[in-house]
Amino acid sequence: MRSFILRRLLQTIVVLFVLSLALRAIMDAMPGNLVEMMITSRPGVKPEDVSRLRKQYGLDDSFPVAYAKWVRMIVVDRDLGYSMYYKQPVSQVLGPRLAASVKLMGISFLVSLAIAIPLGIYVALRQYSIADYLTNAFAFAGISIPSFWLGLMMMYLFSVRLHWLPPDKMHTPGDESLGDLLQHLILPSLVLCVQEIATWVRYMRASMLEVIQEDYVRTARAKGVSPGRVVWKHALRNALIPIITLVALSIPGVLSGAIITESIFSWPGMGQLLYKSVVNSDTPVAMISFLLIAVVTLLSNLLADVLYAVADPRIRLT
Amino acid sequence: MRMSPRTPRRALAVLALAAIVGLPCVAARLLRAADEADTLRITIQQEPDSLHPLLMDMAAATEISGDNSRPGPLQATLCLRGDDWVLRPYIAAELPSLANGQWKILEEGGRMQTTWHLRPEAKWSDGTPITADDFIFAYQVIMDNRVVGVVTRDQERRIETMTAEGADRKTLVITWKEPFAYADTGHACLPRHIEEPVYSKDPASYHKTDIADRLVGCGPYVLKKWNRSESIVLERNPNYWGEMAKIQRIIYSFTSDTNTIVANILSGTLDAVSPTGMTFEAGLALKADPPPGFTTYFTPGLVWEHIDFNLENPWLADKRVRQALTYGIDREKMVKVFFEGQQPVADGWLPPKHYAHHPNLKKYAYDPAKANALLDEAGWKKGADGWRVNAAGERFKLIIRTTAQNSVREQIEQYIQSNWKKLGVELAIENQEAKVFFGETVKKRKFEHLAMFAWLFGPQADGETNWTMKNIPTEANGWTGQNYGGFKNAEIDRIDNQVPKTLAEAERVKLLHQEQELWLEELPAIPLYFRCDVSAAREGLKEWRPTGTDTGVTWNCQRWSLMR
Repeated sequence: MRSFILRRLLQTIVVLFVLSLALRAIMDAMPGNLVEMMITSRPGVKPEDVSRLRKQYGLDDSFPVAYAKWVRMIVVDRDLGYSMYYKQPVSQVLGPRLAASVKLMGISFLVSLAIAIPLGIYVALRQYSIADYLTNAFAFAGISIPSFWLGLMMMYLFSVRLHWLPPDKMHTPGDESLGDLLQHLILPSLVLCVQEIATWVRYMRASMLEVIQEDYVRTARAKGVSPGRVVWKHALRNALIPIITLVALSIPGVLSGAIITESIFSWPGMGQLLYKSVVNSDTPVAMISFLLIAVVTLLSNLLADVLYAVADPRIRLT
Repeated sequence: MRMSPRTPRRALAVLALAAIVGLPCVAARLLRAADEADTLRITIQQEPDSLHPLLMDMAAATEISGDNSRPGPLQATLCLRGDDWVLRPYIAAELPSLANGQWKILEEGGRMQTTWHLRPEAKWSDGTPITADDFIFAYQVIMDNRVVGVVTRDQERRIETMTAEGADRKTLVITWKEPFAYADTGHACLPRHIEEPVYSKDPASYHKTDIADRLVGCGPYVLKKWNRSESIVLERNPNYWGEMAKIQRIIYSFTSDTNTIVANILSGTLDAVSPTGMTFEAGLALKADPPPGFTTYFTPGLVWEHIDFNLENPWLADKRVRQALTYGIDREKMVKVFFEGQQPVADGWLPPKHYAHHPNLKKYAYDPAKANALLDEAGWKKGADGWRVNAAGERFKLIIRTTAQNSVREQIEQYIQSNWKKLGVELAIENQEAKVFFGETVKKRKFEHLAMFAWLFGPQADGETNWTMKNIPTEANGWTGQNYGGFKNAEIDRIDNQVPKTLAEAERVKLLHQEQELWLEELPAIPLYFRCDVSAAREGLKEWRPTGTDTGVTWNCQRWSLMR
């Protein structure tokens, strides 16, 4: 197991190197660099201004030189760079937005799992019951309803009509209290939860239904094992194996944010940041953001493999 | 039912308990209400990139802070243009002019000098007087090649020297290398006593320091807190040297989604919506179904929507074709249908409120008969299938490009497409993502025939960067200049180069009238309409006066008052 993890970590470094090269190449190949965007709407910009700005922003460097400088800055100087779009160091741009995304996405993720997994088990054990039909209807609706529509409807109901909750943002200006944060969290996390519960409940139900029809479950029942023990000891552990993998692979989503929900609720998370960094040619922010998500994705994959082996004794990692 | 003797006592106890719990809540609510009456909550669709006048790049930053020539809550300027677009002194005691002797010609057609007397009471928010040295320092920073982030030096590169005079150093004397008509429109100033030590330490990292948070300014407000990505809180500047601000606190919050802005208005969490970034469609929606107690403002502006012709294309090089295409669009109907008449048809490229607007310009009123005749004359004959072809048998099919997902522009394109179909001219719509459209297609002049977009002009726009030959972007000039259509006309070139050097405003008006007449005859672009600035505010908000220019609505924020 240890050598497996070590080997995978080394592979991760290689993948990150290749990915960073590809990312940089894609960002450089995109039309309209930062200087071109700056000068488009400015009258009176002269050719000497353009050459000065290109030099200052390192746009005259060849691809290998620019990439080498970037790697040196990260590895040797331990500096993530400076965003000329936000006029802030990349670390200061990313930090608060990562925290905001983790708060919103993390809470939605945990609440969704806490509701969806028991619900999925419950309805799988009562297939074709009213509860099963209702849950399926909810799941289909949750998957089908667009998040922007649901968000606006919730905002209309809870903020405009009932005045119970603030319509958007993470804080009321001047109020940094936990209570204020929780009030602001309710609507966006509710929108995310509806979609996530809908997805997870279907996974859990399908996995459980598959397992309870297995021979070993039938054998356990035939041997007179109590129904509770059959479910908890024999069925659930096996039904959770694919869910563990899916949960581990969903972790990067906590960091990458949800652009539509963030945009509707003015939530200052990673989704909006990623979008704006690409649209505005903010290469330093885009590079670090995508690499960060890549690191978490690779580590989540590794975690999924390890958990898979832990949950299923038939699997041995070598 | 009989009431037991203990019931009144119980009722009293409940009442007492309610009073104990409820009174502080009511008191807190009352206090909060009192507090809110002195707080103005504005939403804006962009977050500023910086609040530093030299480093900022966004319209939201100009509105929330103010910059070199456009005042705002944090920054006063030498002079200002309000909603009437007339230039007035602000930090300066008066504007330099040839009449008052503060604007002198040193050499005929060459060097000149302007003198600014700063108001004796003008000071920074920390109480330090504003002196000419603050302007000289800003000039030094702008001209330093090591400082990162300064984009243009269009004004500064024309300056020979800048000096401070007088015992109080309140007189700023500027010697110019060449005649410059806009020498009275102001200069950048920075708090030298705060920023010079930071700058001297390392000019190359000046832009990375926390000076960008602009803790010391000279406007009616100071920065209280900037919650990145969420809000900016401004507090009344107790050291402000002008008319003291009436509202204690202004809170700017950032909301990008138009529906969310409407929800905020309806839920009572907003007092005003900034014109910066507010879409016209959102304005029409608010006007159609106005939230109680709110007024929607449509302020005529300087944004000119038009279609540039690629004049290197041989079909479009013929001005009869350009005129025919313009006669072939019913623009009056267009503005009625799409904008309920709130955004007027553009007869030329200068808006009616511009000081040099020509009131009696030739009008290209919708005239399909004239359009057909001009196309026939230019050799484009209608074929049996109704489409026009030239002598070489080429079908008259034009490609138009604009920013994808801009619903207004997309609808206008379709409208033009149907108008031109009646003339036998086919229009293919091939839109692009804004970054590609502006970054590559327009800037590098890669559009085949037509490009639809807008220019945001300043109140002193003179066409020099848009219509002169030296401003045709090429690889050799680093794609600078804004003459994207490649327009070449010797007389217009002469006039547009002459205007910025002509000091007398009356002379400039004469030249620009002449230019507009020529321009409309040549028609290097199809003028469509002038956009409005759209904003909304509570009816009780007094002195909310959007300018319609690049000066933010906050230009007079010290006079705002809010009655709820």
